[in-house]
Amino acid sequence: MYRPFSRLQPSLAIMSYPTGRLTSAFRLILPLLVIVSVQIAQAAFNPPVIVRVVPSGGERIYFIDRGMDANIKIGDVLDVFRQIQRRTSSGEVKSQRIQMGTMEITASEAGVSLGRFIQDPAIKGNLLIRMKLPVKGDLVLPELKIDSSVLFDAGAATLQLQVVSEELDKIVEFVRAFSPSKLTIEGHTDSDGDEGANQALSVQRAEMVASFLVSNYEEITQDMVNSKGYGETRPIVPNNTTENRALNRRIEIVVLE
Amino acid sequence: MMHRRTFILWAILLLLGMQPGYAVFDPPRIAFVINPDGAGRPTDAVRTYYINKGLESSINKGDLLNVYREKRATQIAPAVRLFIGVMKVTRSQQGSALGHFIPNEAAVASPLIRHKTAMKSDIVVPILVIDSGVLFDPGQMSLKNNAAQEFQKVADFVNNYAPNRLIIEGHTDSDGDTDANQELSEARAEAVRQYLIEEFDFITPAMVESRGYGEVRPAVPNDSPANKTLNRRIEVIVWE
Repeated sequence: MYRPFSRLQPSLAIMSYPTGRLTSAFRLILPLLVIVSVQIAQAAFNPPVIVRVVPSGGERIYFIDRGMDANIKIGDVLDVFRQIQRRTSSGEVKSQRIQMGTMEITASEAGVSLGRFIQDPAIKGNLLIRMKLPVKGDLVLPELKIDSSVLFDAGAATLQLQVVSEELDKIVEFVRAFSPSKLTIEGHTDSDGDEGANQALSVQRAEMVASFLVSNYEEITQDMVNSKGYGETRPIVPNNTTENRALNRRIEIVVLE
Repeated sequence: MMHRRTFILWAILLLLGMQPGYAVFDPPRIAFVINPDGAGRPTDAVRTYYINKGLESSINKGDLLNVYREKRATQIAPAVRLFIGVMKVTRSQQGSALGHFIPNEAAVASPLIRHKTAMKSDIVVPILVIDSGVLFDPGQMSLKNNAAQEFQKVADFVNNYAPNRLIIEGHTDSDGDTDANQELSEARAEAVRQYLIEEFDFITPAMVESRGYGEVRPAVPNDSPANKTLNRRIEVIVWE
């Protein structure tokens, strides 16, 4: 939702404080406190969301609350996610993000952009998603999937340093635009070869990317990054053709907060 | 009780915090629509549009201006501009101008454009149209050697309006593959942008944006070789 006054909320909270008995020195410091608190409020993870859907006969048009300000340009293809709350067997509430498809940007200005949705066929069979088309509040994020073959030689876990920075710059741009507090680097492989070896390779590769990000970009700190290897357990497409296997060999960056 | 002086200080601080930090540009707009008398439901050909800026904003008789409709997600959200057609200026004086509207068929087909002709408070912005054939060889993405002459026109145009933001749009005709045309238009617009930034000191990278539209927004129908030439174009638009 677009909330223009949300940034001001911290200052208003302090304003309602009984200031009558405060010393004049403290009164002078108060504005500084406000400015600091406003800064903190702005630094929170603020992903672009769908704020309005314009339905029509054939094609639905989506309004997104970020645009040129977040480096979203016309022609960009972004991922659309639905965030759902789920209660696990142990009773705790877990929030989960499911990709609905992609959004092609058709217009973009400072603070607003328009998009056209392309559905992911896999979502049709997903019982967790009741509304199969994007709705208000769905997240629209730049694609953060990197083809493993771009970063690594086949079977190796050492980064190809001459091409790596271009791909990883995308992640840093994302961090600059949306200031998330946690990044999870996930390694995935295809189903070829030994399961255990794939698992180990995916772990090593994810760690490699994480440590490269931390040591080369000052925006990304050690406690921000978490790496995980899933081996061949989470393919995005069935491992039945060469192209599909290439799609499954990937590094994904997941941002939840 | 809050002290009055403290309250004023608070008020000033809050106001300062809410300022966008830059001057808000006020583009020319349609102030009202003049319908002819007693002709029933008028068509666009006879409707006249009154624009709230004129000679002082370098809007001259005979100019073609782009008309945009502003759309918002909510009443207070920032607006996105959607192209709807072209305004031909028929009269211009200090502080106002009159024009006739020519809708763009492809653009008004969008479901977001409910009212298919220009209306009150639509934005009217100056454009410079350059024939792609003058700047590029057919199918090529790099500029011709003798394109410099044409760029002097662009520089004069930019100087004239002194915009805060400039948009370079690439458009192609409908010949050939759609995706290839899209890529070509993007690459050409970007080439023009790069040239402008390198060549002219007063054009900065942050000021100019390039966009490629491929064949989706023809100026005229792609039905004759002459029309196709008109559609292969680079538009330089004074955005803000």
